[in-house]
Amino acid sequence: MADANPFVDPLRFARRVPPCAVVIFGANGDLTMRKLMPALYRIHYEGRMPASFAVIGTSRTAMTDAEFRVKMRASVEKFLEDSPFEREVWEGFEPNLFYEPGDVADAGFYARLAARLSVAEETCGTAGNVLFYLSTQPSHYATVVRGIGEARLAEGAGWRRLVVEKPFGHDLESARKLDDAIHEVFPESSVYRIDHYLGKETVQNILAFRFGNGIFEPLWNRRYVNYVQITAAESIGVEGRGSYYQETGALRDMIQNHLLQVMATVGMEPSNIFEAGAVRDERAKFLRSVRPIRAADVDKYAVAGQYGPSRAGGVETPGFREEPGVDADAQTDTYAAVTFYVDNWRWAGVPFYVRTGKRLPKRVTDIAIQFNSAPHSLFAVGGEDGRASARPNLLIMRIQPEEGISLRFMSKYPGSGMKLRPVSMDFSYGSSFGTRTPTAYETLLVDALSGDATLYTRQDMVEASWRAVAPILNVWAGRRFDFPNYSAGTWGPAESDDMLKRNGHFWRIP
Amino acid sequence: MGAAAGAVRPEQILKDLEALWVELGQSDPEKRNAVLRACSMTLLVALDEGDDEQEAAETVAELMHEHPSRSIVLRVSRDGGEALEARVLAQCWMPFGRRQQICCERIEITAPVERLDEVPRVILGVTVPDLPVVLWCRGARLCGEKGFAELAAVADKLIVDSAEFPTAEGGLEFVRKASGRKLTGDLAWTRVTAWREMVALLFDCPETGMTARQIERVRVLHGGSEAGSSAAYLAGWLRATLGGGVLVGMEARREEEGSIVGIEFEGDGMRASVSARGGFAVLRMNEREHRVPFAPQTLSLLLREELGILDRDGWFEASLG
Repeated sequence: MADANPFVDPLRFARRVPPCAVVIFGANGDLTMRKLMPALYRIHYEGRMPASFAVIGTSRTAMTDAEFRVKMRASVEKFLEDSPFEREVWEGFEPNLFYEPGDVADAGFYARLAARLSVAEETCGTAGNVLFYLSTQPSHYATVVRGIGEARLAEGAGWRRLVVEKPFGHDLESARKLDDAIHEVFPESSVYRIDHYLGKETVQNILAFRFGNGIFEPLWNRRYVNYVQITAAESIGVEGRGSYYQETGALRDMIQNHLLQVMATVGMEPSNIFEAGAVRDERAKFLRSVRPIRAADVDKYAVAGQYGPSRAGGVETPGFREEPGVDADAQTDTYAAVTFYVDNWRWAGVPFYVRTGKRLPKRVTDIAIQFNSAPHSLFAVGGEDGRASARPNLLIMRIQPEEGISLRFMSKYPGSGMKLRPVSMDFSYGSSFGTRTPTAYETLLVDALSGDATLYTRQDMVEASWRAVAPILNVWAGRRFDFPNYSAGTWGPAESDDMLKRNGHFWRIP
Repeated sequence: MGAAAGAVRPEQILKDLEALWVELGQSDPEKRNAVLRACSMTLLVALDEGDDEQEAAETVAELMHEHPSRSIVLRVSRDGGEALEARVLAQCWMPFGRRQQICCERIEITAPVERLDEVPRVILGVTVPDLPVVLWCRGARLCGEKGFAELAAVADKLIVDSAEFPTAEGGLEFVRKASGRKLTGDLAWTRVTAWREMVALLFDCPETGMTARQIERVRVLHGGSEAGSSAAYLAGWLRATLGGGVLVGMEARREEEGSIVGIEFEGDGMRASVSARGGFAVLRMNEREHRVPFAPQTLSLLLREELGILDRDGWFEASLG
C-alpha cells in the first residue's frame, strides 16, 4: 500500500479528487454537455482536480481530440451554472481532455480505449485509477459493461469504478438483469448508481436537519406526524422527449427513483455514523418497509393522470397526445400520485402521499410534514365560523426552487381577545448562506472519484423501490385510461384529490 | 440606512436595532417579506486609528454572505476625544435571482483609547445570545492596549494578523500567548493554507513515485530580507509534519515580493518545488511540471476560512511551536 500523504489537512483543505482518468460513454450527448463537463470544469476551477487527470470522451461520432475540446468548451461556456468561465483556467483543463470514437458493440473500440488509458496513465499520471461513466442510452449499458470486461479494462493497477445513470431497468426483472450484467465485471463496491436528487444540497440538508438537531427527531414518528406529502411538480411538458417519455411515464421516471429516495431520506432511521455503508443500510431498510400495494387496492392508493390541451393567458398548450412523437392514444401517465404506507414502528399508519406531474402550475419540489393538531383547543374564538381556526403545525422542506425550511405555527393576532392566526417561520438556505451551492453533479462526481458512495443508490435500494411500485405498474399496464384527465396548468386529476379526501386530508398548494 | 446616534447603553442600541428592523420591514409595503434577517454569530471588529475603515467595511460586507452576523465595528480613536458613541445600521443585499433582501445588523461604536476598558461591558449587552462571538482585531497596536484583554475575553475566538506586527517574532509571541488563553486564529497562518494544499498535491502525483519519506531537505523561499510570520508558520508546519530528521530552512529571495515565494524539496532521487505565477501554482516534480489554479488570498477569503473554524486547529498549534 502506498504511503498516506502526511500533508493533507482535512480541517482546512477542500476535498480533492485523486489522480485518475474519467471515461465518459456518450460524451457527445446532452448529459455530458449540460451537466458532466461543466461539473468537471468547475471542480478544476476550484482547484480540486488533481494535477494528474484525464477525461476521455467516447461516442459513435467521429471527432478528434481538438474537435472534442472545442465542443466541450462551448458547452461549458453555455451551461456553467452560477460561475464565470475563465479562459486561463480552461487552458489548464483542456489539455487533459481526449476523445476516442467508436461503436460500443465493437471489440476493437475497447482495445483502442485501453491504449488511450495506458497513454493517459503514462503521460497524465492517472495512477491507473479509472472511473467509467455510463451516459449512453440505457439499452447500451450491458453492452458497454461487457465490452469493458472483455477488454480487461475493469482490472488494473489502480481502482476501477462504474457510474450508472438511471433508469436502472424498467422493472424489477430488468433491473436485476442489468445488475447481473454489471456484477459480471464490477463488484458492487465499485458500482455507483447515480440519483442526482441525492446530490442536491437541500436533500442532504434533510439529514443535517433531522440528525444534526435534537428537537425534531423526538417528534418524527407516528405519534406526532399526521401525514407526509412529497410533491415534485414540473410546469413544462415533455419538451421534445415525447417518444422516450411515452415509454416511461411519471411513476417510473420520478417516483420509482428520485421521490422514493427522498422519502427514504425523510423517513429512515439515523445511522450510527455518516458513512456510505451505514447510511445506505438505513435507506434500504426503510425502502424494504414500504408496504407493497395489493393489485385490488391499486385504484385506492394510486392515481394516474395525463394532461390535455389548455389555453391560459392567450397561450395554447398542447395535450400530451398532441406532443411530437407521442401516439394519439398514448396511455402514459404524465401525472402519478401514490399513497404509501411504511410498515415499521416509527411510521405505521402514517400515509406518505407522493405526487409528480408535468404541466402542473409551477415547478416546485417540496416535502411537507403535517403534525397532529393540538389535542384540545383552548381558544374558541376566531375563524369564519366563530370557532378557533386551529391549524396543525406544518413543516415544509423546500428542495427547489427556493431551497429552505418553513415551520407553520399558530400565533396570537395582535389586539384584544385571543384570536389565532397561522404564521410561518422561514429559513432560506440559499440566502442564509450566500455562497454558491455546488451542483448535484459536482458533489456526486467528487464523491465517486473519492470513493464515497454515501449519496449513491445501491442495488438492494433499487430493487426495493421497484418492488414498491411494481404492483401499480402491473395494474396500469393492463388498463385503458380515460385520458386526458387533467388540463395543463392545473394540479392534476380530481381522483388524486379524492384519494386524500378519503383519509380526511387534502393536497397542499405549494 | 442609519439610525440616530445615541448614548452608548446596550438597551438603547438594541432598541435602535429593533426600530431599524421595523423601518426596514415597512420600507417596501408592496412586497411581503421583503427583508430576511440572518445571523450565525456576532462578529466584533476592532479598528485602530488609521486602520483602513473602508477596507474593513467592505470585508465585513463580503463576509456576510457566508457568515451572516451581527457585526459590531469598534473604532478606537487616539485624537483626544472623550465620548463613547454608537449607532446602528443594516447591511442589506439582494442575492442574484431572488426577491428578498437579506439584511444583517451592524453596530458601530467609537471609543477613545483611554476608555477602551469600558467597551466590553457595552459589547456584552449587545452580542447575539447563544451564538459564537468572534473578535477580529485589525490593528496590531491595539492588541497591546490596556483593556484589550478584557475585550478579547468577550469573544469565543480571537483573530489577529501577526504579519501586521512590527516584527514576525513579536507577532508570533503574541499569538502564542493568546492561544494559551483562548481559541485564536492568525491570518498569517491562514495565508499558508493555499501553499500547504499545493504541497499536499505535489505528493499526490503517483506517476512521479515521490513520497514524503524521500524528503531530506526543504527550503521555504521568502521575499524581502526578513522571513515573515507566514514563512515561519510554513517552516514550522513542515518540521511538524516531516519530523526532526528533515532539515527545514528558510531562504530570502530579496528581489521577489511576498511573504512566501516558493518551496523546494530535495531528497533521495527527487527534486520538487512549488512556486506561484500569475494566478497559478507551478508544481515541479523532477522533470515534470503542472499548473494548478492558485486561489487569490483576499482579506475576506482569509477571514471566511477562520470564521468557519470554531474549534482547535491542531496543525496551527503544532506549527506555532
